[in-house]
Amino acid sequence: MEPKDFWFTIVGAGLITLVLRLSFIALSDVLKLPPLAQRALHFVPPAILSALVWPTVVIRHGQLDLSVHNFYLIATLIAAIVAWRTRNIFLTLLVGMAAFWLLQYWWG
Amino acid sequence: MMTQNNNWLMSDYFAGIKAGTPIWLSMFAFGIVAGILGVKLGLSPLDSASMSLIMYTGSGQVATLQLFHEASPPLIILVTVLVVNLRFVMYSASLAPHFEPLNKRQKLIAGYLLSDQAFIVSLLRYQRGEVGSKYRFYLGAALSLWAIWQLGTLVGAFTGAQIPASWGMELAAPLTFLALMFSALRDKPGVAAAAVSGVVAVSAAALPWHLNMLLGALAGVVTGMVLSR
Repeated sequence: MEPKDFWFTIVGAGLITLVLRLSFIALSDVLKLPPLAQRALHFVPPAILSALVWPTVVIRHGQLDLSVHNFYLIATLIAAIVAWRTRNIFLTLLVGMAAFWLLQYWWG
Repeated sequence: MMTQNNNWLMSDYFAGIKAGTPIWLSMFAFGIVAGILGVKLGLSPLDSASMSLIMYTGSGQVATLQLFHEASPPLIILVTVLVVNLRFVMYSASLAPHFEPLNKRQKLIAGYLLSDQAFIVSLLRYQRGEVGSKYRFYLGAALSLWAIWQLGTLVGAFTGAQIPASWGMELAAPLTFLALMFSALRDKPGVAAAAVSGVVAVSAAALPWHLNMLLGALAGVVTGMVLSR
């Protein structure tokens, strides 16, 4: 691809992303969401966060891997206990990464 | 001057910055990964940094770079970025009621700086009702997270170092989202929403364009609504 086309594409992709981000924020004074939609938004954080976590650690190399050899999954499950008990991001990250490194060291 | 400094430390900007700090590490790590990928696929460090400034979307940038590498036509790349980033519409809708009083310029800034992380940090705090100025809090969190991301891609692009898989850098983002997920769980319908979303997102992993994520989130939202009726 020509450099010019490359940058047109990048700028286009940036504009598309900006429009998606702005969508409802830009329209907030003219568009009022009906109560049903507002109730739906209440569930966006837990739903989207779960969707951001599990596929990454459960699908390895394009395959579903629920085995004990999937250290990404085991480390995440250990970290989940910490996250559940403490809701502390640092601690969750620390324990999860440490678990992953130890698993690699012992069985990797 | 001292009193001014003290005031600043008490400000909503600073509260926002502080609320984002636990996420800096994973944001930085993901930025490095994106920066390295750009250089590895033939971009100069400066191009890689410009791309980060223009797009500011980790998943969008990674998808774009991969498609360029496969010599995909521009239209395919644009459609992919559109679909990969559709979740931003959900974030925008969630934040919109809180940003209603802002002027156009402030809304534009808020929009550009919107990220998964800035959205979650701000919305969870708004829901607990502990914020003075919602915009200043958001700006503090979102702008510092933006800066960390840009710094990460710069470091990745300029060092261009290979990060061995054994470091598990890929885990930093999901672990951060995991902790945030537990903060976002506050009732049984919410727990069900997260569970269903996770199962659907994993089951539909074969779909292109990260559609599994969107499908999972939608299934989770519907589940939560049905159970909370």
